[in-house]
Amino acid sequence: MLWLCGGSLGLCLVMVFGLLLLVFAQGFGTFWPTPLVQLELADGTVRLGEVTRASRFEVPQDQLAALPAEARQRAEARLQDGWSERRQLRTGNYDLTFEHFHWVPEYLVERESQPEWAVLVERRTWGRFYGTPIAFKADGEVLASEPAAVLERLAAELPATHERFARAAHLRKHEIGRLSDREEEARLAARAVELRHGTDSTRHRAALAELEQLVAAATAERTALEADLQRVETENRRRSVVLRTSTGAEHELSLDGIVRLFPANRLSFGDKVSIYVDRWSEFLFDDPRESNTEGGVWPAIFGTVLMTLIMSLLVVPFGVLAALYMREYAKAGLVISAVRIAVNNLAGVPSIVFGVFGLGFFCYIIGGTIDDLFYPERQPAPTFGKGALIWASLTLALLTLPVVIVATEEALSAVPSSMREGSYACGASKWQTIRRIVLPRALPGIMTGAILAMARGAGEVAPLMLVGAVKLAPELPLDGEFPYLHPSRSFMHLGFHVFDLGFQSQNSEAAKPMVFTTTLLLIGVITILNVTAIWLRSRLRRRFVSSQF
Amino acid sequence: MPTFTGLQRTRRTTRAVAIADRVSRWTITIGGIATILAVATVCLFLVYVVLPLLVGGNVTPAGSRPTPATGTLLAAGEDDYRQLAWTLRDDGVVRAWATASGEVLASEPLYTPAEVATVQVHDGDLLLGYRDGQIQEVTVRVSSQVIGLADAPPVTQQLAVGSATTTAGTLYERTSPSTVRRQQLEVVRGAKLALGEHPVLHVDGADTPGGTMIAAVTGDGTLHLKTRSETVNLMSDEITVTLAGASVRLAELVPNLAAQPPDHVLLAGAGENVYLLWNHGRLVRLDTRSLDEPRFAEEVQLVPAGSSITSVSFLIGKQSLLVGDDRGEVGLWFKTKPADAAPPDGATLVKARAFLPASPAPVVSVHASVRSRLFTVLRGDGTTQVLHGTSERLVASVQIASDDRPALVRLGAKEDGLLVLGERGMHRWDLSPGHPEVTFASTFLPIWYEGYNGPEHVWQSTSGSDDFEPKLGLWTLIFGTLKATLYCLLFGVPLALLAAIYTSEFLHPRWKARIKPSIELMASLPSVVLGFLAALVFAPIVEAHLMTLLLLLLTLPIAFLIGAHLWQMLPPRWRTVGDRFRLLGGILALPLGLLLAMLLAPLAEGLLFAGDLQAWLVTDGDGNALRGSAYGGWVFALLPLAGLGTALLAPRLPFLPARGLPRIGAGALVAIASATALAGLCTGLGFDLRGSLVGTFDQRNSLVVGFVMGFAVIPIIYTIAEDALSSVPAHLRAASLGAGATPWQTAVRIVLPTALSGVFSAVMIGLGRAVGETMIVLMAAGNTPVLELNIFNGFRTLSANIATELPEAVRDSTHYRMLYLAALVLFVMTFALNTAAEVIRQRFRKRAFQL
Repeated sequence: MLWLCGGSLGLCLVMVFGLLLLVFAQGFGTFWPTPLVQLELADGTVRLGEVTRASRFEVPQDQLAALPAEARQRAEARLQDGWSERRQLRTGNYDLTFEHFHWVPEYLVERESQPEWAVLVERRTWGRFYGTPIAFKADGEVLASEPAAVLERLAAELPATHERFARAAHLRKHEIGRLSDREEEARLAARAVELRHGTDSTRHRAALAELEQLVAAATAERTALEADLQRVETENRRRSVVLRTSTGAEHELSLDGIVRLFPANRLSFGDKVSIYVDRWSEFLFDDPRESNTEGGVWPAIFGTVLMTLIMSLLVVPFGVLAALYMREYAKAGLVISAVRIAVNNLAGVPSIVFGVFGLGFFCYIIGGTIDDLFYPERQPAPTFGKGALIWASLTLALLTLPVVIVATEEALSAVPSSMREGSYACGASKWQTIRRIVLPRALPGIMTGAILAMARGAGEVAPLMLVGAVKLAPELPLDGEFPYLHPSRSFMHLGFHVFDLGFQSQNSEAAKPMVFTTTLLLIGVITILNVTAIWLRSRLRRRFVSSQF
Repeated sequence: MPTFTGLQRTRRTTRAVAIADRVSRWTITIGGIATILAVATVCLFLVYVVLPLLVGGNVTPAGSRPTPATGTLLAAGEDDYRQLAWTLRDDGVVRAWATASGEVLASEPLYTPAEVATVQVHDGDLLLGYRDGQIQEVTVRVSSQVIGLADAPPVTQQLAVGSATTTAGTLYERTSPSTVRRQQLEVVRGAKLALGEHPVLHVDGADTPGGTMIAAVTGDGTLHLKTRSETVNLMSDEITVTLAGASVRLAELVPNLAAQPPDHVLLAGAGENVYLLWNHGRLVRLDTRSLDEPRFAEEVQLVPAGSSITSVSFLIGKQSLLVGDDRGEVGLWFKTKPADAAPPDGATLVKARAFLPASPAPVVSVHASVRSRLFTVLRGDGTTQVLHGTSERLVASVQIASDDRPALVRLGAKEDGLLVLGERGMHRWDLSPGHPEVTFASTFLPIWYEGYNGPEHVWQSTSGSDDFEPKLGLWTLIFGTLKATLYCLLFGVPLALLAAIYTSEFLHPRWKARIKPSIELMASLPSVVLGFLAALVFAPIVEAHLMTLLLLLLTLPIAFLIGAHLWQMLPPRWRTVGDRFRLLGGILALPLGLLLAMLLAPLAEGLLFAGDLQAWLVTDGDGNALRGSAYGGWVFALLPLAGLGTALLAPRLPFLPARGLPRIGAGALVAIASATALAGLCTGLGFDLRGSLVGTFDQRNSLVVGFVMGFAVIPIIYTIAEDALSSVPAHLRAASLGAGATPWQTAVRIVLPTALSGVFSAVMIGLGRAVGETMIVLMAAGNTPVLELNIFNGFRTLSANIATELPEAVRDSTHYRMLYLAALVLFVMTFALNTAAEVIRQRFRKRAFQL
């Protein structure tokens, strides 16, 4: 039995660390460039791609029967009791083959090679592309046709292309977007005047005239900007690279749509490291592409951190106030101990219940009222009356409030009453005692509570699905536009990102590595927060143990 | 008298300090109380949203006034805004009047009474059957149009917003400062179509994808089944209406009843059945899926002999038939498809419910709502009830003045009003039905839904069509929640408690300081991560290696026992030195168990499960196994129990060898023998595990969810249980050890009983967490609301259901409120569990303190 107990503990430990190890291995491995493998099969097809998985399967007889006689004999010789290994190849080239992945049975493989000049292209749309470069073109004119020369040209041209792409994105999103925003605002302002003073009133007419003027001005400006945009984009589309795929098809890719291109089988260790680092930095600081399965998670990181920060700003002061009241001011009695038990228990109420509350109370009732009072011109489109950053923060604040209250109370009660009495005896008032004596001593405990609350808040997803986390937020909730922080915007969240990638994406196989990296990131953030809390707690305990005797 | 010492306070409190003190006191008090109240709001708000579900409908009188004409009522209607009402009486005239003033707005003769033999209402349109064998579709409706103020007649210009006036047979209502709504009676006559020469006695229509279907009975005893189709001539834009179909002699279809023509002819659903009803209670159901070849399906007696049918009507969707009789009862009949149905189309009409009157009076009129399964019944004594066809809830009950004879009842198109027409007057009520489809029974008990073979628990909230009825049985979800909790705890509790005992009693303090936080770290793993791993990593593994994983449950303990035995064989000196590395030994035993399981898996699968476990598990819809015998499953399930039993009973089994390997071997033999014997007994008695605890394998199943949710629950149970065990005073342990007990005996007989309530509360808190877990379940449990305990299929829990459905639920709808009820149920469950745990823990603390 003793061994059974020890075994259970061992099993628990193995489970925890196995799980973490799995996430770490998968998460960190995702971005490491792997060699490109070319497989020539018995049925005559050739596949090029990255190996992603391997498994064993029982070969169906009709698959064997479909082979030519000679190939079939060879294949059968390779089978083990009718079973065969198989490898999953990421073959990409979705626009040509309509599949991202392909399972290749081992018994069909006739020849395996790693073509020297095979390149991996990460594109902005359609996923990855695998092939051998055969030409570099500018304005349709072939400038280079040897793989080495093509790659050299590419290396020279790609940075400039990326710069232009960023410029175009900036033009489209910020410059032209700003114009549209301004127009929309003026239109809303005119609508507000109409609602307040009536249709066709003098003021309304004035507002309409102003709006018209503004639209005219904006249209002129927009035309100029669009011409600019057009120029940049045309310049980018001038250059292209032609690739030959494993099946022999030739495909021309415009440089504009290429994120990264490298000959995976010719990389030195240093090159690999630089690609690895480059991919991580793209992951951490870029916007997502391809319905979140590629690109970065910057908006999600940003949303998670911002939401957690706002939540902490809300929860810590109120939690501390409530704890101070219960511990220092309220008369100890049946009511307070009942409240204490209730608050304790709230920590165990499922988070989804808080989400339900948040949706009904914050979004629909409070948000709806705010819309009615302050944004009648935007109706019926809701402004605050939907999931929003502020409601998500408030909901999570409510959810984590018990954590902070309980932790603070514990910290307050751990301050020996002799210290309070000493302070009173010296003539200090109650507030002075609390501020100078009690709070400083309880501070580490309060901070532990706050950090635990943050860790819990950052990891919660269920309530966020109801009150504001979205798959893709077009704008960050914090930007350079007045009033800088936009509490009514929806936001992206790492946890929700994991859920969405794993379960809502059409190409969940391609998204899987991304899920692992996002998971790794999320666990990283939370572990850091938790470890800080544990460390603080142990420090705090040590301090009290020494001060009690 | 105390003597005055002369000492007094020389320093006064500074004003600033006093103010700061007061300000802070108030801030903290108000802020504190407000925060606590805010937390309490959560519960109150849930109740606030749920409450309207419990409150019934509301009905208020909206006046009575004499009707403009007398005569037998054939049809009546009201417009959507309930400002105009119209009637058709047997004089063939449609009259419309303003409901507010009673002013007659229009009076339009529809036909001369001598010409027409029958008038039937079909989807708001009238079907007229003429004596010369023709039929005609007539639409009588109130046209409603919002127009600008400028286009409206002068009388409307001074109208206040919300009030109405009539002029030239038209009603105008000012809807906003700049708009007016114009309403007037509109009669659209369709073309007359000839069915034959004989008078049309009954006619009914149904909308089918191929056009309107018409069923009619003519005076010569012929049933006509026709489809009306319209073709537009492209050159002349002329519309040609044609009737195509068959005519059958009733005498051929129903020889025993054909002597007398039926009293009602009804087309059910989209025309797949024709019901012929005789007032003495006979119903003949014809299968008319093929129009040319109507076939007799069955004959049913709707009311007991001696009573007669007085009114019939379909509920929305035209599948459920409401039959009112002269005893005042309204029966609800619909088709079911039981396995042993006698009729050739495999369906049979059954009476699912009966709505009884408060006092017996014949049913005069029944009318069903066009938007839900609400209907209204008017009885001979003037009582009118509004009822729900599925939940049987009585929404409202009103009574008309006793000096009028009730004739017809209509439920408003928006379910916002009730119109009762008597011989002399019309009586109106404003109605707000609330949420009639929800009752306690519909939420927690099985309900017989339309088309089902019997009462069932169903959660099916979203609809594919308007005729569909949302089924909001919360029990399936509660069951799913409990199932998740059960399997999670089955895995998590033993592991967590054993680990806690080991940590608190046997682990070196230095190790404990490191191991405990790392398991606590597991608690902070976001559940979305666990859910993702469960669904995308573990589920495929479990699917591929099911047998191995199941065997692990058996081989892991065996591996530990082997490890323990090897340990015992070490020389005592080594054992003392190695004591602190025992945990490492435990971890090393894990791969051994895994290896054993992998080796045994093919063997066990071949021996017990007919070679393929997943195929063996497959059951059909009724839970009957299809392959292999039940024996293997029983052996496998009983083996661990038998092993445990043998271990516990070992001291009382005299025939076992005293110690060492022979004892273990003999014990194992006893266990295997008893397991196989018991399994034989169970199989012999005809019990099969499949269909109850196990069954068809799904990739998203309870095993995976239970395992992964264990990750979420283990750290909590472990931490709290370990705290409870560690807080047992050391002198108890010392005493026990001093009295000669081994550490293990001390742990089990002294420490564990002392800390039992604390350990129990740990389990309760773990339970609370498992009940509310959302993301893992959402991602890994498949989310099908099924009522099966099968460990190899999925379920849908309250929390996952809320997460998937709430974002799409329309605010304040019944569905929305039901989801809030689900949240409230979750809240109450976890709150109760946690409070119980807290109370137990408080008591435990007190007891531990006393020791």
